[in-house]
Amino acid sequence: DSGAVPHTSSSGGDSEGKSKSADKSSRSRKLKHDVIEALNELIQDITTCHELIAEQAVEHIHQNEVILTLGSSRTVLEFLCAAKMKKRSFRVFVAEGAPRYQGHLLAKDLVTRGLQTTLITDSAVFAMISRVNMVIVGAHAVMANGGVIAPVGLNMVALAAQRHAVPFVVLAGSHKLCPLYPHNPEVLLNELRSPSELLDFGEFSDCMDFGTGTASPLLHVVNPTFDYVPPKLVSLFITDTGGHNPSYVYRLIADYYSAYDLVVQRRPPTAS
Amino acid sequence: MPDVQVLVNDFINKLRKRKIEGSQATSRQTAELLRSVISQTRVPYTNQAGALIDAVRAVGEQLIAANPVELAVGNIVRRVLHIIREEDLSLATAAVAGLGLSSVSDDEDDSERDNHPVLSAAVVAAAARSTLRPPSLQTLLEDVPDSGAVPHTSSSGGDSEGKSKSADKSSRSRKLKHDVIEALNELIQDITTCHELIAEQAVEHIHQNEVILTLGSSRTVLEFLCAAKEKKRSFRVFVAEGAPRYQGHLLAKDLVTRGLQTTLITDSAVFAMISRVNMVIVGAHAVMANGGVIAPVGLNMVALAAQRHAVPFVVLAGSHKLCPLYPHNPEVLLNELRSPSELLDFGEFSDCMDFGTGTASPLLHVVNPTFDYVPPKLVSLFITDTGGHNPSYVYRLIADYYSADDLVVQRRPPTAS
Repeated sequence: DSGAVPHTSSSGGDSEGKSKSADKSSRSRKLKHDVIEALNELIQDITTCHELIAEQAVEHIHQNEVILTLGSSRTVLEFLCAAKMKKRSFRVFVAEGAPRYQGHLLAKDLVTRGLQTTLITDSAVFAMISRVNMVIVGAHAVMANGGVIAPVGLNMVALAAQRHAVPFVVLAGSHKLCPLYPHNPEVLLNELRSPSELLDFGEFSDCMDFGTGTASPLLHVVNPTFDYVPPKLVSLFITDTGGHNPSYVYRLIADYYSAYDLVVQRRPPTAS
Repeated sequence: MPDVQVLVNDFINKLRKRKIEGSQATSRQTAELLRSVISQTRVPYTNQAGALIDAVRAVGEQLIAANPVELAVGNIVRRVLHIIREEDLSLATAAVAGLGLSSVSDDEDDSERDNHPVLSAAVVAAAARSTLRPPSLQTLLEDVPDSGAVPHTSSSGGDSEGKSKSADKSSRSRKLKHDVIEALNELIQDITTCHELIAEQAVEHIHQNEVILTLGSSRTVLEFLCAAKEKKRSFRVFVAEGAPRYQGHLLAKDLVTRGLQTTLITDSAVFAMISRVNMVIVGAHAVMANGGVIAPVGLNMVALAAQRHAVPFVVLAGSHKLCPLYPHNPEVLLNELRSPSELLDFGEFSDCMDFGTGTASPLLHVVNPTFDYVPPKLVSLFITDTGGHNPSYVYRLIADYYSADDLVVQRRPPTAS
């Protein structure tokens, strides 16, 4: 892994050799300095990503629209409130997002900020979606192909939106942009959480621990955390740099990441 | 029947000069004319249904030729023919059932009574088979092209049966004309009240706070929307103006006078507005046997936009608009080109349209079609006076209203008697 200057440097006199070493030391001090400056900018971007995304809300939310979302995302909350502050009047349908029911919290927050909100169950999404003008959701991660790893239930919402020709808009800060593809074996697409979020301890323990007659349990509870939404269901990504197509994501990745770094693994130490 | 011929010629002239506006008026007048033709047709003792069918076919052929684009004329002619066949068949089965019963009651012999139920069943089957069956070797040899209800090879019977049969026949002939005219009156009644029957169903389809889109002007659509308004549903209507006749302007005025919130848009704006629309409701000129719709020009574009945005496309059509022909049938004229003067004023472009510079052929052509064809996959629902139906259900309605023998309305060459 060579630095910027190749070791096989060109011919030069002692004066160049001395200036080269002087350049090297000044450059080394400059490199670390520049890197730390860039890192500070990165930290700043991460901290302010919500405001940068929320600034674009007015272009996307129009008067008298109906927005649908699922669960709770801070980015979505600030996005909707920014549009509200610019005097756009619109209504929001919030799907509660079982089993954690974070939609309840989002609905409360929206109401305290003065937005007309309707809370619905996840099953009611397909019934209501014909009256919805736009779906706005947050994401856990955006993969290199434009696919989205999102909280569980959002694949269903994306399919319903496609069936009714409703735009599906994903808000994601640029730190969520992942250069890996979903088929990459390193990527764990999902995490299974405790069944206690669905069933109380002790309530079903006889079914879950063992079945009658056989030793294996009859009842399994699966509690995934995430859904994978394929890129063809996503209409628009709104990041802190602006709005992008799913097919544009590879360009953002080329801007932010290098191809060498896809596998992050320490090289075995070479004999010096 | 000289006076009937005068009526027929008068009606043919009106059709040819396109003086009758709208398929409802055309259907009603066609049915009334055919009613007059039937009531003035003299029917012989035997084969009265065949005589009626011949008379209706002769007149119907001329009517269809006078205005081939107005498919409602052909629809009504075929409905009348179907009515004649149906009434004839019901009279035949009733008469034969009566014949079987009378012969059982006349006989006191047990063995004969045992035989007669079998005989009456065979006679019923023969009657049903011979009633207006298509030409076969047997009928050609018999030289009876459209046979009546009772088979000539009737079963054994005495003089009493013969006398009762002739009495039955004469009463049956009077009854056939009478039944046909009664059924025709019902048909005319249905045609006249189709708008109310369709408008009754408006409340099931239009819900509160909906946005409806329509194009051009249709009386059925107007009454449909007003019926929903009277049931206290509040909704908004987008009306596309429907160039080049701009009949959307008239519809918008009518809706406003009835208190509906209306927005008038150009035809080009339909695709821009359709994402905010909940339902598209339009009228039709004719509904073909495959479920395709012949509709005023511009509606194919609206149907495509509605499909793209998953908006239901609902077509309102009275049952007189239901045509048993398929669009690929060479008899069906799918379109009619109207005068270019609806687009360009006379004299304004006459130099471009008459001849071009250097060549004799004109450089500018103006095409002004009247209708669009909307394929069945773009239609979500048909609302007729009998209720709401899928496009794939249309073949069932056609089987109810029309006979397969009548698809080609052509007078048979007269056979040597």
